[in-house]
Formats: sequence, C-alpha cells, structure tokens
Amino acid sequence: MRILFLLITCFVYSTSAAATGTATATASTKVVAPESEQLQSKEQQVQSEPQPQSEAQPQQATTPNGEKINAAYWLKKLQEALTKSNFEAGIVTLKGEKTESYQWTHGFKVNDDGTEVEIERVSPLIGNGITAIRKNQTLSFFESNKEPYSISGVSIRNFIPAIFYKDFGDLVDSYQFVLVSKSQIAGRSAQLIRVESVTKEAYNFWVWIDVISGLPLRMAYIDEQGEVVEQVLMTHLSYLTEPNEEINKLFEIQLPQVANTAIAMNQQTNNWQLEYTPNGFELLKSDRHHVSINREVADYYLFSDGLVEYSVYVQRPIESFNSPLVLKDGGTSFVMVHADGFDVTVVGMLPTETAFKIAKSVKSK
Amino acid sequence: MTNQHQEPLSAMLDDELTNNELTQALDSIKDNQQSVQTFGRYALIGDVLRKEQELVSDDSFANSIQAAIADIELPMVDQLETENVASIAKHPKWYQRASQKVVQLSEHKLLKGSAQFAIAASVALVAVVGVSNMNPGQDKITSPVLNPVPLVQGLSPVSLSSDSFKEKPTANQVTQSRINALMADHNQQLRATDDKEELEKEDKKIEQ
Repeated sequence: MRILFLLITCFVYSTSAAATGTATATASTKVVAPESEQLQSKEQQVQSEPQPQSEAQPQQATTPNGEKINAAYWLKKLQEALTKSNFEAGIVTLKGEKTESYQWTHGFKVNDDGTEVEIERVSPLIGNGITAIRKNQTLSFFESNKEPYSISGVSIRNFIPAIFYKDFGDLVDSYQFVLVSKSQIAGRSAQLIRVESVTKEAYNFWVWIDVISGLPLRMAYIDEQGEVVEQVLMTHLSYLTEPNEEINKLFEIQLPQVANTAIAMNQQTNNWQLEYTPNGFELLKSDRHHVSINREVADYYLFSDGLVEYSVYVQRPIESFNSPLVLKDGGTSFVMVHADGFDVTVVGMLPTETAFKIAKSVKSK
Repeated sequence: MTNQHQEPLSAMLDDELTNNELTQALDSIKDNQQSVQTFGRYALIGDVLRKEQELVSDDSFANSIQAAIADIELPMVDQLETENVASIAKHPKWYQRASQKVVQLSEHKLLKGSAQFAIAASVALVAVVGVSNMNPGQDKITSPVLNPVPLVQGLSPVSLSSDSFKEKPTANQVTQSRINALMADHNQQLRATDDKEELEKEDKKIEQ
C-alpha cells in the first residue's frame, strides 16, 4: 500500500487551458509536509481533472490588493517551491548560439537525528562541465580532471538568478513587476510574471511559473526591442511528494570539506572612480586580484542590482585590440576599452550600451 | 652528354678551376641548355649538401625547377617586377641580387671567383623556383614564399562565440587570452560572491 504513495509524479497534461483551479493551488502548498499528506495529495490529483470550471479563482481570493501583490504572491510561491519541494527537472539554456542542458534535482531528507537535509544537484547532461551538489550550506563542485572542492552556499546558481532565493522586495526600486496572462508550457499551465527594468538600463526578466508546483518553467532575458537574448527552459518536470532514489543516493554522498582558507584579498582598490552606475546597482565587493587563467593583475569591482551582476576590471593596457572591443554572448556583454593609461573591461548580464557607458565612465582618481 | 663534359662544371662549383679553365667552361656551356640545367642541379645539390638550402623532396618541385630553368631568359627578370609575383620578388635585396646574377650569367662575363658564381647561380635558382611556384590565382597569399611549410588550414582562433568573432577578426592571442580569462573570472566571482553575501545576510538574521 505504501509503495503506491512513495512516488507521485505530477504530470498533469491539462487537456484544456482551464485545467487548473483551486485544486492545483492547494496541491502545491502541501509540498512542505509530504509525509503526512500523501493521501490527500493523491486525492487532489484525482480531483483536479474533473474540475476544470473553477478558473483563476484562488488567485483573486489570495491577493485582493491588485497587480503588484499578485505578482509578489507568485514569486513567493516560486521561492517556496525552489527551496521546499522535491523535484527532478530537465533544463535547457539557450545562450546566443550555444545550448546547454542540465539535470536539476532538489529534495529533502530527514537525518537519523531528526534534522532535515536539503539536497540539490545540477549536472550537465552533455560534456564534462561542472557538476554542483549542495547539502544544506555545503556546496561542492565536481569537474573532470580536478579535485572536487566545497564552498559555503545556500543555492546552486547556474541558470537560476540569485534573487529567487532572496527577497524580491530588493528589486522594487529598479524593476516593476507585472502579472501577465497564463499560458501553456509543455502542457502545463504557467503564470507569466514580467520583471521589467524601470530605466531600461538592464534587461527585462520574464519568468513563467508552473501553476501547480510553483517551479519556473521558463525564464527569459528580454532586451528593449523585445528580443529574447537568453533563456532557460524546463524540458521536463517530475514533481515528487517524497525524495526519490536519486535524492536518496545523493544523500549518501560525502562531500569534501569546505575549504577553510580565506582567499587573500587586497582591499585597497580605491584608485578608480566609477562615475556611472546604472539604476539600482550597488557595489558588492572590490579587490585587487590575479585573474585566474592568465594571472594578470586586475583591480576588480562587482556590482549587482539583485537580479543580475556585472564585473569591472581595470588592468594594464595592452595594444593588441582596437578600442572599444565589444563582444556578446547571449545576454552577457563584454566591453573592453582603452582609457588613459589603462584598460577597462565590463562583463555582465547587461545591454551592451549600458556596459559601454560604464566602461567609459571609469576615471583614475 | 658525356661525363667529361660535366667535369668542368662540377669543378667550377667546387672552386677548383683556374681562370683560364673557368673561361673555357663557361664558353662550353653557353649555348648548351642541358649544360645550364646540369649546372643548376649541381649548384642545388651542393647547396643542399652544405645545408645552405632546404631540400624539398617532391617530384613536382624538381620538375618545376627544370621547367623554370628551361625558360630562364631576361624576360624572367622583367617578370619579377610584375604585381603577380609575391613577396620574394618585392624584397629589394632578392630582386637586386637575382636580376644582377642572372644578367651576369647570361652575359657570361668572367667572375671574380667561381665560388661567388656558384652562390649567384643558386640564388637565381631560388628566386626562379619561388616565382615559378606561384600560380596566378594565388597572388593574394602574402606569406613568405621561401617558407616550405604550407599554410596551416582548419585552425582558427577561438572566440566567445562565432558571431562576435566574425565582427572582430582582429583579436589576437593576447586579447583572446585576456577575454577568456576575464569571462572565467567573472563567472567565478559570481559564484563565490553571491554565496558570501547571502551567508552574511543569514548571519545578520541570526544576530537579530
């Protein structure tokens, strides 16, 4: 009997667009305590099919205060789904002409001593990229021909923007949230939320949230012209009420110890004046370090507006390129310019114009 | 042609002739195309043995030498000036030396030393080979003709994306390595920094 409930995989292929109603909204909220509510969730699933008439009712009921809170409701749901559910998903990222695919697993398991262990893994499906496994706050990276190592971290951020794990309220000053219509993605009903840059200095970010699970079915960075510059697609989703075998296996894996060595950082990088910073971006850190790979010294600044980040590098001048050097990889811009006696490089998820403006504004003090 | 006939040639290249003998030798070969070819081959062989010139062991190479030498006349020197001839012909020193020596050869004046003459002949040969190997259709290639290594094909510089590289074909190795390094560093920084920031936030929450 119990075996029946061990693995309930939600593949609700809604035959009509109106397949989601009260049943689906409640179904997703009970993920938090799967053990006790297995029976109920099973019932809910059965019920969800013959009840197509109650469209969009719960949404208005939960958020009577207008659009912004509506969007916040969905984003909150997204956040909970990302951190509190068991699922396995296939992910495809489309960046410029490059396509990458990942398997994404997330789940919970209770230790012998009663403590809950959060387990997450993102591994590339093709090629030998970096596989990241996280157990609670230990984040380990596995790469072929390299020693695995661990750092502290509460989420694997490969294709999911950092803000999904933080407070969306941080974005209110620089972005506006727009609740748009529902649509179908891979046969599932999805709610589109548009996170739009107020000043147009950054990309707009659109996310389609699965109505049932709250997980992101599709994410896209959109430029001012409305073109998709980069996007992430969920190709399949297994939504689990209990950890599956894969999660159990991951639970058994011993991760390497978190390296305790503090990275030596030189904090004296106040040599430069960055006169232009796009709206909403704040300095996260600055230091002087050797750039990995070619060991060139760089004065480094990292800015973020919560959703996206960009780096500013100030380095010795090299004569081998024609300023400005402007490259693009999907939504990531790379702008390198000659300044007065030094080179400035801006790399980040920004429109090229903004990146160029930032690079041009760097002056020596 | 007898071996006897070739002896003076060989001796001349080996610097074993007196002035009189040298004059005789030059006279004897002046109207004989075959002798001229033989002389050229001897000079080339000598050069290769002395490692003064790289040997390209290819039948077509030898054929092209013979073909070129058969045609060698003053017009060849004029051709050196035409646009179709690649960099070697444009090199002032090569041109000067080659034309000078070819003229000397054609007028078969007495040279100061036969050794010099041998060098001169080989220089002319190299120039001729270089010119005759150039097809008219290849005149866009500006690589050094004397370099026997073929142009490397199928290798192209790596870029962030093929699109961007098409726009910036001038990016060289140094630039490229910096671009790659900065892209990698940017991603690395993102990974580390986000987590740090979040942990700090969590710490603050705990403190509160």
